[in-house]
Amino acid sequence: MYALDGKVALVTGAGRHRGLGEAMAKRLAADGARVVITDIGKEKGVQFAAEHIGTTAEMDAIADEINAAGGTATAHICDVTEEDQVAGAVKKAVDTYGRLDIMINNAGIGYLMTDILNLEQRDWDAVLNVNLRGVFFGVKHAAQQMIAQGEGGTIINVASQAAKRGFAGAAAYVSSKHGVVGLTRTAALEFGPNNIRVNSICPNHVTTGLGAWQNEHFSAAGGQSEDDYMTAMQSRIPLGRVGLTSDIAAMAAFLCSDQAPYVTGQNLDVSGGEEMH
Amino acid sequence: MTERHWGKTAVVTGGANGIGRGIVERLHADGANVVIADIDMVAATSLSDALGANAVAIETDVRDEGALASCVSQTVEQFGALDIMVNNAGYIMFSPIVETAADDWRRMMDVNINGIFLGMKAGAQQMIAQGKGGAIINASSGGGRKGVPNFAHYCATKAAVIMMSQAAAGEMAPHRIRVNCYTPGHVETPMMSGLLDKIAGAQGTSRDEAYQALEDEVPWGRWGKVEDVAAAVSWLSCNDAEYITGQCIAMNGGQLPW
Repeated sequence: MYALDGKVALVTGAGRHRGLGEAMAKRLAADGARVVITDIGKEKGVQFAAEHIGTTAEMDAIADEINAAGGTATAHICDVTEEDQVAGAVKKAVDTYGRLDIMINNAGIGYLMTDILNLEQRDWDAVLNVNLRGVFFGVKHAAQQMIAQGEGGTIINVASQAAKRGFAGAAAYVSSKHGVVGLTRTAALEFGPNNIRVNSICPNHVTTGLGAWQNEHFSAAGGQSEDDYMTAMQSRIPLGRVGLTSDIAAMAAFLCSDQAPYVTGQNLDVSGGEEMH
Repeated sequence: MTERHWGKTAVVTGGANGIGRGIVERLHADGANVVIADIDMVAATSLSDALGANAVAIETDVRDEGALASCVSQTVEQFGALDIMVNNAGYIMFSPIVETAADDWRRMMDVNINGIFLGMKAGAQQMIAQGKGGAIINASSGGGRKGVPNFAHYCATKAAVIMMSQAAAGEMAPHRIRVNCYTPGHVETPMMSGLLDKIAGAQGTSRDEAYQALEDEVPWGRWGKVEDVAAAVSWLSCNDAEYITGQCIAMNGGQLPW
């Protein structure tokens, strides 16, 4: 008997090892949920390192790992910037496992960091399209399915510490994550009558693949060594360490569980005390 | 998934009734030893008797530093350690500012702010001495995030709890003590039940209408339950919340901006 027995979850952006999506998908599966993981996925075996996009092979490997560990998972390609693909991912969950109870809109883009004066529309649009439009599509299509089922559900959007404060050189990212907070609050109001809870998680730095790139990028931009950059970061965090993917997964598991039946419209910091608002 | 707090020991101030009672019952069901620290010893003893071996009632007035210190030392004597300190004791009253007696104001500050400060202090002193960290959870409220007419005193105390908790989180992190607070909306408790008549009177409505009006403010469509708060407190106390500190966790059915 596990907390999420019988539930079906969809986690977007779960196709990268070391990522938040992977950790959340594995935790939900360990807690008993059947999980559809999606990512933008490129052709098997083809690496798109420059674009920081995972391959289908990597996503398939994560699904295999969940199944090998005794869980139940299937992988599905989904570009969250395309509404029909998001609708297709929800349909995949319903076709495969019969329903959808948990939607985690995790897919995000954290590259393309440029100061405002040099920020081109193309990069602004790319970040907003993934991080905000993609979450909007996820909320919309998951809620449609949950309303049709008539038994409520849980939607979790992955925001960021950057939803609670500004970061120089990251205008598009910060704006998109602030947008996720507004979307989350509004969705909680609209779907409360349908017993669908909508919350977001706001992690501080986690050294995912993306996080590692950010460390490299921001330390170089600030003329610091990466070690000095990390030491300074840790000194700002009351608990003295950066976040772990397991910290975020634990919050997701809590929000999905029967321990959070009255928690909705919240934007929950998982930041070792670095953010408190 | 049950008994997640097996072997841990929790003190819950104001644990005999209302939200505190729900927290005691939940932590106990999750495997913790529980201390019901309260001034209402009739209710506290009745609850500890009902829970059985891993529960004790200790008479504790949270306004009294000595009483809290004694409560913590009796807890350690009984169960060997203190791992979870829930500073829940508090009260609410309906009182427009112009009608609030200074002594009534001071009494509320004494219970709702000083009581939590003293509880944090006594709990943290013990946890620091033990050297293995701990969890402190303080009672705030939606009223600590948004002013509510006729409750200036209460809102002031609950906002203070949020800032005390944030300050404490930074101060106690080196000792691996996490400090968080919970901010419920309206919760069905005996205390709120008593308040409804006064709210209805002020609005010139019936009690049922006042209840309904408060329910209508909640997107989730119902009042909060003590179990909603207790479940979150249990989670905040457990290892899954290892990186959560300085936070207000709201359980309010989406009633914003609380």
